[in-house]
Parts: sequence; C-alpha cells; structure tokens
Amino acid sequence: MRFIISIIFLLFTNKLLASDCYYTLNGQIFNQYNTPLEFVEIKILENQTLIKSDEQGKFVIPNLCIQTYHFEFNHINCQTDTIIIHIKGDRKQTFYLEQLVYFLDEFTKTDAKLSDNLQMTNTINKFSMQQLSGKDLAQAIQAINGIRVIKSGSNINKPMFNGFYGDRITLVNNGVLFQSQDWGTDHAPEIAISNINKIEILNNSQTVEYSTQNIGATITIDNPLISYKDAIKFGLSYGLQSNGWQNSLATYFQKSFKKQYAFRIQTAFKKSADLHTPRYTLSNTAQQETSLSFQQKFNIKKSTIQTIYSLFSNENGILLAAHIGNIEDLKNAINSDTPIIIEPASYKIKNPKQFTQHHLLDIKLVQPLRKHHFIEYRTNFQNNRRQEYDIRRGNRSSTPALNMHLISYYGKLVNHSEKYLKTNWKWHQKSGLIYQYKNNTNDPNTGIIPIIPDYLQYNFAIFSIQEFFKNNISFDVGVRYENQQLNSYTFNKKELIIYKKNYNTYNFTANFSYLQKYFDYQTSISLSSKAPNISELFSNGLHHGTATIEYGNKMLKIENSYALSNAFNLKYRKYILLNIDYKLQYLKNFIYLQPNSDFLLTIKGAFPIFQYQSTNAFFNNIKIHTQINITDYFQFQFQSNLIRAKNLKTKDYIVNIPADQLKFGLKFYGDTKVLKNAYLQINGDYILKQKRTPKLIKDYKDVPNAYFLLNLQLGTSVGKANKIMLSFAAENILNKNYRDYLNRFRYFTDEIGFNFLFKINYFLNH
Amino acid sequence: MKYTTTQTLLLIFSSVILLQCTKQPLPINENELITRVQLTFTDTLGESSSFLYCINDGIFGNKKDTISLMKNKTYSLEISFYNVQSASVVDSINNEILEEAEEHQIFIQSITIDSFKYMDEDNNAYPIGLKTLIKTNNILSLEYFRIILIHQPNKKGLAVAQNQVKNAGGATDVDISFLIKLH
Repeated sequence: MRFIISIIFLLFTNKLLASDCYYTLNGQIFNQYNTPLEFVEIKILENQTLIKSDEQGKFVIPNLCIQTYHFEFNHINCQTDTIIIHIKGDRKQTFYLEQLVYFLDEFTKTDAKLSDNLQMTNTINKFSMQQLSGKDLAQAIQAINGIRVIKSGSNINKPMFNGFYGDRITLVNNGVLFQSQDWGTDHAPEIAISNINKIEILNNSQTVEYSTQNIGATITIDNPLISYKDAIKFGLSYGLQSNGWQNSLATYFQKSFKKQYAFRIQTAFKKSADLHTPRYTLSNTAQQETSLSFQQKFNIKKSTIQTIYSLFSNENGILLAAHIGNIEDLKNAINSDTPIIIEPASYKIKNPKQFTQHHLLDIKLVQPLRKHHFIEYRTNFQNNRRQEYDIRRGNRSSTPALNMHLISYYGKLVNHSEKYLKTNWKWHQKSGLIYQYKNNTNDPNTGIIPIIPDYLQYNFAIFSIQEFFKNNISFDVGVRYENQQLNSYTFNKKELIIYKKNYNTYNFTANFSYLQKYFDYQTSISLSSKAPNISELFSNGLHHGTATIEYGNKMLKIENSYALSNAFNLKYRKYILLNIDYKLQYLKNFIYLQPNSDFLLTIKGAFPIFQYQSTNAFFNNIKIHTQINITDYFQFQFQSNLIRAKNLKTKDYIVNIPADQLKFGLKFYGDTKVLKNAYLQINGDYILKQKRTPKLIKDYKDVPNAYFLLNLQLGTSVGKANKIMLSFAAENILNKNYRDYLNRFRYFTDEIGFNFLFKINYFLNH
Repeated sequence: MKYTTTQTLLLIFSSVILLQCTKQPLPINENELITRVQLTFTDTLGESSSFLYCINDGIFGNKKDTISLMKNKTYSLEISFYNVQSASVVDSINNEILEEAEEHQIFIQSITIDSFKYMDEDNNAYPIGLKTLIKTNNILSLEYFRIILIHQPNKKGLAVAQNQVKNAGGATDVDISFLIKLH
C-alpha cells in the first residue's frame, strides 16, 4: 500500500514542478433562447475560486494550469451545471445554461447571495456523489458537517442533525415533501441516491415552503434536472464493497427533442450479503435495493409541465443478535462478548427483516403570467408500504408482524414574483397554499396489535417568503401557518375508539447576511413548531431490539422551538477558509421517550415501560470547518461538530445526542498526462466518548469508548473527455473494533471492520 | 388569460377535498398469544394434579396457582400452553411447538428440584421439554418454579440439552414463575 501511495505522490510532485499556470479561458454564457446571462457564478471546484459573468455573459479566468477543471455554473434562474474542461492552452468557449425561472436576467440575487464558501459546508455536489459506492442516503450526507447517523445495526441508517431525527428533519426529494413512516428509529428514508445532483441543508427562510417543524434541518435532495440542451446523455456505473460483498449497478439515459420535450430514465440495483466486524459476521444484515425513476418535461405554449415517477424498493435483514424475546434475553446477549449464534455470511435475507416500497408520482406546472411573475402548481401522490417480518411460531413467519400502508396526497399552489424597489433593492417573493392528505392503514391479518393505529390526517398550510438583496447584503423573512386535523382509529380490546385532534402550528424565520472580501456573516432566527406525531400520541407496543414497551401520550402539546444561529466566515484569498456556525436552540414541550418506573408483566416476562413525555430543553451546536490550501495541489481540512443538550426540567442530559466529532483530512489533487482530475485523500475521524448521557435513565450497557477511524479515498478520470471515472476507497483501514453510541444495536455487536470500495462510472455527454 | 388560468388551477386545487374522510378498521385477532400455561404433575401411582398460570386469559383473566407437591417424590410433568380468547376460542399451542419441535425447548428452574430429566425429543434427538420427569427434594419453604419456553434456541449449546438456559440464545416466548410449596 505504502508503495502505491508513494508512486501517486511522485506523479503529483512531478506534475507540480512541471506545471505552467498562465493560460486563460475566455467564456460567454447564454440561456437556451440565446440571451446572454449576467451574474452567473462560475466556481472552479478544484480550488473553490469564484468568478462572475458580466452584462454580456462574458467572463475571463486567468492563470489556469494544464489540467482538467470542473467548472460549476450557478445562476439563480438556471439549473446548476458542472462542465469539465481540459486546459491545454488559451481557450475561448461558449456555454449554455438552461433558464428555468421566468424572471428577467437582471433579476439575480447572485451578487448578494451568501457566498458559496459559506454554503459549501452545507452541500454535497454531484462530483462527490459520483465517487460514492453503494451508500444509502444517511451515509452519503454524513459528509455535510453536522449530519450524523442514528443506526439500527449497520445496515439501517437514519440522518440526524443537531441531535434531532425523524419528523424533526424535513426531507425534500426533488421538490416533493417526502412522506413516510419517519417516526421509527429503525425506519430509514426510502430515497435512492444513485443519481443525485445536489444535496443541501437549507439555512434560510426557504424552509417555510416545506413545513413548520424545521426543528432539526430541512434537507433537499435533487436529481439532475432534465434539460432541452443535450440530445443524448447516458451514464453507467458499477460499485463494489468488500464488506458484505455488495454489488451495485446504476444507469441513466436522457434524450431531448427540439427544445420541446425531454425525458430521463434511471434505474439502480444493489445487493449485499451479511456485513462483518473485525471479529465476526453480523448475521442477517444482508440487503437488497431496487430503484427506478422516469422524469419528463415538455412545454405547451409558455407553460412548462414536468412529471416524475419514482419507485424505491428495499429489503433489509435485521441483525439476528438483536432478536430477543425479553429483558433476560437482552441481558444474556449483552453479557455475551460475541453473538450467541453466528451463521456463515450469505446474501440470504431471513426473518427478522423489513420490506419497504415507495412510489411517487409528481406533476408540476409552471405558468408565466407576465414579466417577473409566474405561478406554479404542483401535485403529488405517494404510496409507502412497510412490512416487518419477525421470527414467529407456527407458519406465521411468512405473514408480516407489522404491515402498514401510508397513502399521501399533496397539492401546492405557489405565486412567485420579483421586482426592483425604488431604493435599488431587489425584491423576490414566493407565497403559496398547500393541502395535504394522509391515510395510514394497518393490515388486520398480521395477528399482532400494530404499534401505531390507523389514521387520517389533513393539513392545510399557507406560507410566504420575502427576500431582499442589495449589493453584498441580503435579508429574508418567511412565515407559515399550518392547521392539522388528525383522526386516529384506536382499539380498546375489540372496541373502536376514535380520537380527533386538531393542531395549529406556525413557523417564522428571518435571515440576514453580509458579505465582504475577508469576512462573511450570517445570522438567523427561527421560531418553529411541531404537532405531536402519531407515534408520540398513540404508539402502543413492544420495541424489538431493546425489549421495551412504548406507550404514546394523548396529552402531548405542540412542541415549540426558538433558535438563533450565527455563521462567520474568515477567508484569505483562495488559501484559507474558516467557517464557524453556532446555534442556540430552546425547545418548549420537547417530546421525548421517558422510562416509567413500572413494568408490564406478560407471559414472556416483565418489560420496562417507556412513555412519551414533554419537557423544556436547551440545545447548543457548534460546527467548525477549516480548509487550508497549502498549494494548488495540496489541501488540509479540519471539521468539528459539538452538541450539548439538556433537559431543563429534570436537569439531566438528553439521550441519543451525538458524541463530539473531530475530522481531519489531507487531500492531494491535480492532473498528470494519463490521469485527469486525480485526487488522493486521507481522512481521520475521531469520535469521542459521549459522557453526557442521562443520569436518570439507566442504560443497559456502558457508553462505548472513543474511537479513531482512518479512511482513504483515491480517484481519477481517464480517457478522452473524461468519459471514465474511477474511484477507490478504504474505510476503517486499521480494522478497529469499536462500537458507536448512536447505534441502537450497540448492546449486541461491534461496528463493521475494514471495507474496500471501488466504483467505475462511464458517461456519455457528461 | 391570466384569470382563467388561475381559476382552473384553483379548481384543481380544491377538488382534492373529495378524498376519503372516514375509516372503518377491523379489530385484530391476536392469534399468536399465549394466555395460559398448565402444569400437570402425575405421581408414580397415577395420581395427578394441575396448576394454572394465566395472563389476560379469555376465561380466567389473570390467575396464578401455587403448586403443591410432596417432598422427595418423583413426578412426571406435562406442560400445556394455550391461547384462550374466549370460552369458545381455545387454541392449544402444544401442537405448534410439536410441529416445530427442533425450534423449541422448555427449561425448568427451581431449587425444589432434586433431579430432572427430559422425557421427549425432537427429530434430531434433542429435548423439547413438554414432558419431563422431576424428583422433588425436601426444601419446605415457599419457592419459585420457573418455566421458560425458548423459540429458536441453540440446542447444541453447552449443557443446553441438560436444562441450562443460559447458553441457549434464541427468543423467549414464555418466562413465568409459579410459587411452589412442598409438603
């Protein structure tokens, strides 16, 4: 290994000595109607330099080296596009960006938009997504500072932000508010990531468009938008992971016809066997995932219609060692150093297991009314099915123990407009009405009382976002009001009892940012509220894996969050970037699961009871991101995320808060004659021991110790026009034995050991 | 043009109100529960006595008998598990256990037991535990008599075939403790 690394270093250093960086790229940018685009931000991804186009859409980038560059074109009204250019000498080129929004070109907020550097720590771009092999959504977005993962075993992952997860995190999939059984800690989001253009945490008032409960974060996940620009686009990728011998395959195809019709079809498949820790196999952690989507776009006169259909289907084994019947079994399992039963690794998914399927159909209509003004109507239908199979007596194992079906319907009408105010401020507004319907049904043939009841939920919301820009200052305000009617159909023995609950929630967010040459600043306040969800109100049943009985609490009130955050950016040209993001958050009626002193006596033994309660809580979160570009080929990164959370009523800590995290990275990058856009990255992740755990809740097992993981990534493009992209990675190189506090199955097994990853991408008209 | 478009959109928007507004879910029949455990002790003369342990039983509700046996005596013990939802819905669980005999084992723990022997076996010649032979000792204080039914135990585990539950793994289906008094 050391030998290979030194060879790569040699390749880079040779290049360093030989490089001549005095070439210039002269470019001009147009939209699809051949109108020049001004204020397009061009970011060189290799060194994060920013350039802007002038009134004629022209720009000049001097001091380019002989190498391959990725230029990201950003324009407020356009689809973000990344273009790869191989610089061999001075170059002149015309670029086209597809304009999506019917505003005039002078209406851009780019010049006042918070600099990309401040945004950078909140986004993952297409380029990094393409390197990832076979990860799921939560694992992929971990790259964003502040995002952590709460796991059930090593194969079921759920994103967490500032210690919040589930319905306190709003997921927006291609502009569609994602609807699933998000209340369960072992319910991973059913979103495929095989073909993602950008993942971003929204940090301004745009969040009010999606929900009032932006208590954790609003995460937008966007596939590449289809454009009329290219005749044919095609991509094919294959990925391999040694831990679990996972194979993944993904492909997409896009075609457009004369600026009138375009479509994209994509599909992906992955399958993996049981994962393993350094010492043993994690029996029954195999999984399989299939996804498919079809997207199309066409114009009728001035209106644009876009439709998306997508299907996600997943089958996941549940760690066998976590299958226990009662608290005695739990104690036995905890006291056993290795799982009592270890089976040889296989691709077979046995009970207990989960099967999920998610269909989405979305239709969007954009109708320009006049200059600087258009309306958007969007409607979507989502169908989410979740089946959980258990090891059951008799011939019942083939009957799911839990079988839920969630149908949701969503309608949104939005009015957008932009204007120059007299004082030369630019004003952008977006207001809308939203209607939402959810219908959850449990299959009565399971033979087991379901953990949440059947319900019908109706939401009606109204929102407005106002944004103002001038020079290097921007200011935005968002408000949203939402009414929710929840009718739950519960049973007392065989008698049906209907509970009708009505909640009014609101969200107010204001945001101010100021940019300077060496210093950027952003401050925001956010007041948001969350109605108690179906599980917090009515859950009733056994929680597998922790052998606890969970009860809902019908008396819960609306949870209110009051947050203040400040972000600072210190920068010195392209060499140094220091980003500090600090958030203070007070929660009134914070809903959490509290152990009850009672036990429920059943024929299986006695079970501890947990019930949802509310308290007041205080959360503190600091994120630090430092990037030092030592040379044009060598970068040092440091990242840290610290969270403190207190239950103010019991004066105790809050459970399941991520431990302090420190990440270090060294990156070498550049081009050689054969390898374009090559990089080598060494990362160290240090997770401290979580010492701030609740004193009043007795844990079954001591909190895991601190651990340090060493990871390596290596990638390059080869061939003409960078049609082939290769990436290699090694995770947990030291094959460390460790457990993580945020893994719900940490009582039973270690985390996974060494993992080698490989991915190859082929692109046609990338 | 502008107003007609807006009106059309509003019409589409309002049409969604016509969705399902009520539900009529069916109650779930819990067919996998065990509500009653019955122990039948038969002495060498053929004299037998039965004791019940019920939780949410369709007939007895919650009921816990105290086992009463003679000291220093040998008994054959038969255990029966039932799901009793009502007087008319009585399911015997023993059939299910026998059908999947390889996946089940019963363990019995009490300090009043002097010697213990499994009297039945599955197709792989490992014990099941629905039938056992027990010899009581002479501890006369009120003690516990614990019955554990494990689903998918590791029957090959160390001393598992000798009634050692600790190494059995699996998932507990029944774990109850009768009171016992020897005379």
